Amino acid sequence: MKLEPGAQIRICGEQTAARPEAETDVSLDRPWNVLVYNDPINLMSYVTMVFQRVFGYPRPLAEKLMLEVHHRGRSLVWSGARERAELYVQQLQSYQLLARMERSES
Amino acid sequence: MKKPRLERADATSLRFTNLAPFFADSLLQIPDILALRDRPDIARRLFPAPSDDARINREWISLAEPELRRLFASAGEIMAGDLAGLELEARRSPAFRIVFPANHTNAWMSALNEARLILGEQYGVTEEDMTRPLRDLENPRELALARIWALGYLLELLVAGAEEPPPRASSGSD
Repeated sequence: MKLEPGAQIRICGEQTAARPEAETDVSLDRPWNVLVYNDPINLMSYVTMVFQRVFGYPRPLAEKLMLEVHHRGRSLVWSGARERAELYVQQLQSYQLLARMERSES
Repeated sequence: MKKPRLERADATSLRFTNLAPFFADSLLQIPDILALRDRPDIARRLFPAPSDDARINREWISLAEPELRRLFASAGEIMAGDLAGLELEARRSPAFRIVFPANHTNAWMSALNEARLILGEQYGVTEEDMTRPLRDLENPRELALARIWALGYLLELLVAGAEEPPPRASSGSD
């Protein structure tokens, strides 16, 4: 999959973010996925708040992703350029969520 | 016993009230709990490798992880400083209260959450543990579960408080 500059990234059927215009084509090949994994300690309300703060997601989407983490063990919470993915993983880890990044299969 | 409450003390401060002794004691334990941060098994939970890519992980260890460590340490120090204000609500009261600056809320959330995670890692707490009734509190693992629960209750109040809009400036018409 190759995203065009300005394309809207969709996660779980929700429009979430516009890809920045200024990135090179190299970074557009095979985007990086940001994943959050379940752990038994983090509160559901806390995880929802973190998704709202880090990504600016509206509460319904943040809750949907949180429930996906809780019930499925992990959730793909963002996809896009590597540098941005690294930034998001660091921000999620600064809130002590179990966050990782991996290159998209497609 | 009343439940703990979080309320605005004044324009720049928040106040936890109705803190039963166990809640107060759990707060006071936080600095010692956070001191376990660098234990290898706990550090693996707090500072997990971000990917399967060795180059990204190397950069992470040299750049991002030290920043996260500074952030967590700073949050813990801020909260530890505020804990000096923990006091009985009144003479002979069974409850405690603590006032802290509203702009320390993020530090409090970080320290409370980190303490819960450390206890969880230290005692191998599972999803099942988090949903079953507590047993004998003489058992250190059960005591840790009770502290995770108590600190989680206070964290929940902070999260709910963070979602509320800031108070309006007084208009004189309320």
